[in-house]
Amino acid sequence: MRDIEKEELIRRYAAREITWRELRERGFEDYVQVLAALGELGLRPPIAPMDGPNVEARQRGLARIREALQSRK
Amino acid sequence: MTRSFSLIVTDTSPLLTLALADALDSLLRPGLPVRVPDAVYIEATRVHGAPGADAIVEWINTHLDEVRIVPTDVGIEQQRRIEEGRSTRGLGEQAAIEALDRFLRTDPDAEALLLLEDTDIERRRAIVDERLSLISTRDFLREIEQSVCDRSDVYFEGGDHTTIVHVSQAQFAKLTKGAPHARFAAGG
Repeated sequence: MRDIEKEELIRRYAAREITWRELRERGFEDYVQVLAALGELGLRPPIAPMDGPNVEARQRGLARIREALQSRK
Repeated sequence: MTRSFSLIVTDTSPLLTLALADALDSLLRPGLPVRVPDAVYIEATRVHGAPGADAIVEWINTHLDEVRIVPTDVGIEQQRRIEEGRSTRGLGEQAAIEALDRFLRTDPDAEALLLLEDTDIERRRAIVDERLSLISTRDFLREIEQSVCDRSDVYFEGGDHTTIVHVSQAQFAKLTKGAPHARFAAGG
């Protein structure tokens, strides 16, 4: 993969236009490569808003983790 | 929480992100058994000396009571491909599906919290099962961070590697007032 293609993919990943899975399919070998490329471009890993097809399961996940953390106090 | 409940790391990205941030211990903070499918573990650690790889191996070896590598048929296939020099891309994800399926079939009351990478959790529809819940790497870190801030007591290492200092949250806030600081789960 050429550097320019790699940079374009990383920019699109940071903008949440493509997923980590798609990066893998397009030639990124591991997530360390992705983190390094983000760092080189001064970009941060994308953050998923509470949106999309898994919202219900994610809200359940937040409740579960809070419950677990609370029970540890 | 009376049911069997586990945290399953479904992909290398949360493991490597936490390893590089020196924050693997945050996976233990909720007090849940942590399960890592074998192919995910191998994918993250097979290149000795690669960033994060050695830290993950050492961390798992230090926490064998809390962290379990889950063997899968996909993991066996992965080993075969590695030996034959073939691509192993995507096998971590397949192993996670197999490990999850087995986990849920073994115990009908078992529940699992799946840790996923942020873009995958946002865009790709995950398995729908009442016993499964999902959390992104960033949401996970934010909840851990918040739980630390909510604690009434703070303990920190005194700087000599032997002393633990205990202060109240209020005292800690006073002590660090005006000091430069950052959130480790910033954003969102």
